[in-house]
Amino acid sequence: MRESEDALRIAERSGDDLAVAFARMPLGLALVHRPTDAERDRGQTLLAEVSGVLLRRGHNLGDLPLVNAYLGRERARRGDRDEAIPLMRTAAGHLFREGRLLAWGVPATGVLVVTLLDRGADGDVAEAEAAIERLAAAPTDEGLVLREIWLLRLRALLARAHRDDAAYADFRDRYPRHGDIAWLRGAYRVGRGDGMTATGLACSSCGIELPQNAKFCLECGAAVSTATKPAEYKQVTVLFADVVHSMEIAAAVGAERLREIMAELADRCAAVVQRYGGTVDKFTG
Amino acid sequence: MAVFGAPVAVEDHAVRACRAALGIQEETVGLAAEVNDRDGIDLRLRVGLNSGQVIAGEIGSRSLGYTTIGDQVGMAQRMEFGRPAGCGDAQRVDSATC
Repeated sequence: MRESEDALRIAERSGDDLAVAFARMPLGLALVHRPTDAERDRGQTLLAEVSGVLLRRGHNLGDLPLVNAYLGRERARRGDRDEAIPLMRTAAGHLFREGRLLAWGVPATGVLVVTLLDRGADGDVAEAEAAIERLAAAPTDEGLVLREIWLLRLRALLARAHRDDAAYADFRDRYPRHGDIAWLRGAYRVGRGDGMTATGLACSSCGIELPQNAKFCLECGAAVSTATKPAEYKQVTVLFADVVHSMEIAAAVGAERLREIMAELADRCAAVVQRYGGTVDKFTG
Repeated sequence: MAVFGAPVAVEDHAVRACRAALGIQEETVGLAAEVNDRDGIDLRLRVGLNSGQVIAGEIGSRSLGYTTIGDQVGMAQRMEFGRPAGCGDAQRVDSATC
């Protein structure tokens, strides 16, 4: 959240309304998932502005259905279900027709189905069921975890709407709990890309993964250092020392003499630091 | 900039840093006398100390090497900056260090 806020502040300084819209979008989407009404209200305001800018500028229209689907969700929250559902229906339908159901179509279908089942008017349950099946039928090479998780939730809600308690309990129990990584790995083979850490050895120069015992990088040829210490949190004391008015001294004695003085000072300071077991991190202007 | 307590952790990093800061000021006084004699300028050093948690490790390509990152580093720098120079009271030490 804080990073999104920072990004928005930077974008606002740029004065570029598209940049502002791109920064508002993730923040708005995050805010409408927050627990308090104030946060969700602000998220809705941001998303409405994003939607307007994208339409006006004709830019990133591919993101528009997602923004509109969540705008619809917020309108539904405020009780405007009859206005919200057509907006969400259009968004999900648009993604389906463009064959993009497996990206933004997953949450867009999700919020549509939840809202339809909440309203429960004539035909709503049937429409929700059709939307679920449309999402489930979208072809993919292999299991798509995000879709599977959404589908479990949507089917549970649908079963509840049908008053099918057994099916509801079944879907609910299969829904992964928070942090249920084993479920994700087992059921949907997430994390097979563990190759990233298979050897734990990466080139310190270009970052590419290296086979175990590699002495040189396969990509850039840099020598592989195995002495790399992993980053870690440490309790330390940091010491900063700075020569007062160093530029005035430079002006008075000249650059070469300043270098001599500084070198001598740095040597003496480094010796003191070493005497007390410290590490000189850097010398800088 | 110097770090006490990384890469090898030591319990008394704060005490060591304080002693080192005093030692640095002492060295500076000696050098300043020489410089004053020869160049007629007033060489003074400001020192700031701050303790706390930082991230230590190899950062970036090898030219940067082992370093520390974190609020505490910036804090020490700002404490040093906000202090008058001199030998007696030029040190500024935050409460976590003491």
